[in-house]
Amino acid sequence: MPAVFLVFLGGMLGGAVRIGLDAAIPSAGAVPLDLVVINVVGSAALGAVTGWSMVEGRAWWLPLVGPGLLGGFTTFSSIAALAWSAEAGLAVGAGVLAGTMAASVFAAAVGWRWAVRRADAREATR
Amino acid sequence: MSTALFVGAVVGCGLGAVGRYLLGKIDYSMDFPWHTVIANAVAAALVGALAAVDDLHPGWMIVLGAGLGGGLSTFSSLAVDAVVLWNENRRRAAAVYLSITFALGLACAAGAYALAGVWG
Repeated sequence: MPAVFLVFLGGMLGGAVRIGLDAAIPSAGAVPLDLVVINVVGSAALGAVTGWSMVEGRAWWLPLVGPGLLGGFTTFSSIAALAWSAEAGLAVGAGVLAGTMAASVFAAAVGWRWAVRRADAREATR
Repeated sequence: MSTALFVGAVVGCGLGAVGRYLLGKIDYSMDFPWHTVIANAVAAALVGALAAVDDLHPGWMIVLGAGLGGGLSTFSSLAVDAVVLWNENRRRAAAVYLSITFALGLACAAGAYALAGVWG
């Protein structure tokens, strides 16, 4: 299957989960905590997937899961435009963006290290 | 949310993801993840513009904002791009990457909001 189609499929799947969750979880105030958690979890998962494929090599499903599923699951635009779309105020919007970025980078690094260790251990027992 | 709106948003998210993926396929001479920066900045502008349109049907915010914009933009690649640069011992590039993403994201949302407010 062409990679573009896999990205399309994965993007729809990730979007369905995010938009479904966001609709199901009532938001308290202007800060969408559910989207923050989605972004941190998705970043940890992509960190793990990328770290794993650094050791094990690129798998056919990488476009489906990486730019597709996890790219569609996470969203930058909703967080970056928070100050204007939710009238959260610039200070709150910028703070939420900076905080989500810091937490996501940390989560991606943890996911990466965990997956590399797992993959290395798997290779060692082979 | 109606089923039609949900399906529209989901398809929009798939199309946005494809747009972001194709942007990454363009060969860049510079060894820097510009494609993620650009996809995120454009999507932030889209959501900022939508937020400025008076009496916009809320369905458009779901389909074009949460769907198309949410698919075009990504937080996972943004985080992993920074980790990749860091792991390559390019600490400065990682810091520049995160700063540019942060500043452009806010500036594009603000700029598009202001422009759409004038035209809308």
